[in-house]
Amino acid sequence: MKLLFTPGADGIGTLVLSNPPHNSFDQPRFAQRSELEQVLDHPGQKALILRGEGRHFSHGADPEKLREQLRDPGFHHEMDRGKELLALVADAPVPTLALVRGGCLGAGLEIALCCHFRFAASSALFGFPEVELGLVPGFGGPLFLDGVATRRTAIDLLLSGRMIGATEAHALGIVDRVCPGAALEQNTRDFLHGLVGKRTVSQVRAVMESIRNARRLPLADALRRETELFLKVARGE
Amino acid sequence: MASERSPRLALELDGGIARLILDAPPRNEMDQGFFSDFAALAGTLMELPVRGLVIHGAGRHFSSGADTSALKAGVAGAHLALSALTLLEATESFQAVSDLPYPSVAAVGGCCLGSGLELALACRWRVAAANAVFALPETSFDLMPGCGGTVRLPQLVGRGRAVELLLSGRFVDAEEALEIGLVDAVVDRRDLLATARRLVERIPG
Repeated sequence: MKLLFTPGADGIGTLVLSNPPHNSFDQPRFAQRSELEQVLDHPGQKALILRGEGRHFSHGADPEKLREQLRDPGFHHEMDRGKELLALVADAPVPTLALVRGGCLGAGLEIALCCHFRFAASSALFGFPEVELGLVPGFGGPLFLDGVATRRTAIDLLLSGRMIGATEAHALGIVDRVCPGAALEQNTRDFLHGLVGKRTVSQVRAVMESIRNARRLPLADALRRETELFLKVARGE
Repeated sequence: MASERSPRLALELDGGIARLILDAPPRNEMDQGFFSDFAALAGTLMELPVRGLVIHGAGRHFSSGADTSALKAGVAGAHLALSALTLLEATESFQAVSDLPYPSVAAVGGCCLGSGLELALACRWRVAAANAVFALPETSFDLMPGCGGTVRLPQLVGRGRAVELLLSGRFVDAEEALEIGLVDAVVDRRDLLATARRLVERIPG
């Protein structure tokens, strides 16, 4: 898997998951940590689009390669490093949006679920096929899905391994917006532009940090930090 | 019935339920004086021998929040220390509502914006009239929410939705507020206070 990053002149960058044709993950540690950090932290960036190269978002782990690696005693460690990369995406300092065409499966869906938003082409497909291979999702998929959709939905998708279309994914709360493939790119840009176009980089980062703090810090600390961030923004720092 | 009154807030006790009225019509705007009065009242609330608290606005609106231009002038100008202090005090007194030893409910009609919404978020429940509109529009004024909104909103509506509402600053009507979990019920305006009261009364004292 290669990460192809293009910064945007309007502050909206694009990160392409590239390992055509299915943009499969050859290994859990799918990128260098520093490389991913640089993309997320790119100066002047206010939002980031994640997408796959070509027709698909990502079909997740390559089952053949996965089976080989499972025998490796260091595999547990590699899984942990992979999860750390996903946590980086989930904690991104700017809003992230997964632009989904084609298959968005397994680890591919897990990384999409780490994003704040998911916009899909009507023809996109979602699912956790791991159970069909005698496995379970290994990247904290259940966890992230739980934050987005209901627990009932998570159990359904994780245990059945069934594939769902974009419309059903939208109804289940996994996808925020569905539109014809031809309009997807423009819809995504319009949405993100409406979100951050008029905001300063420091506003975006302050709001995102505070939202992150809500989940990570004790309430009193998160509230205190919010006041500090407010003052920073108000003083134009 | 007992009552206590500051120029901007009225507190009434009625049948074991306290009613706190944001009383600066028409918009019940929260100025520096409001925040001081509210902070002073927070201690009183803690000691009240009641089973629940209903907070609502006088007249048509809940509250339009703080006057952002005054807030910005305060932060940028000579009153810097004062404003930072006001903000901390406001955040702490809103938190005091969350920490009350009895349940609280915001009964929201009309505008519920900025720090008005942040106060409503600090309550255990929110009941809205069909005409209610909600927003944390601070980012549109080159600011961000500073009284708990960025911390409490994601806990209520989820991470992605909070990012969207906080950065866009857009308005949410009562129907959408119910759909995304921002409010717990939407009722006819005439039934607003009665519904809010029933909510807190259901909890045994």
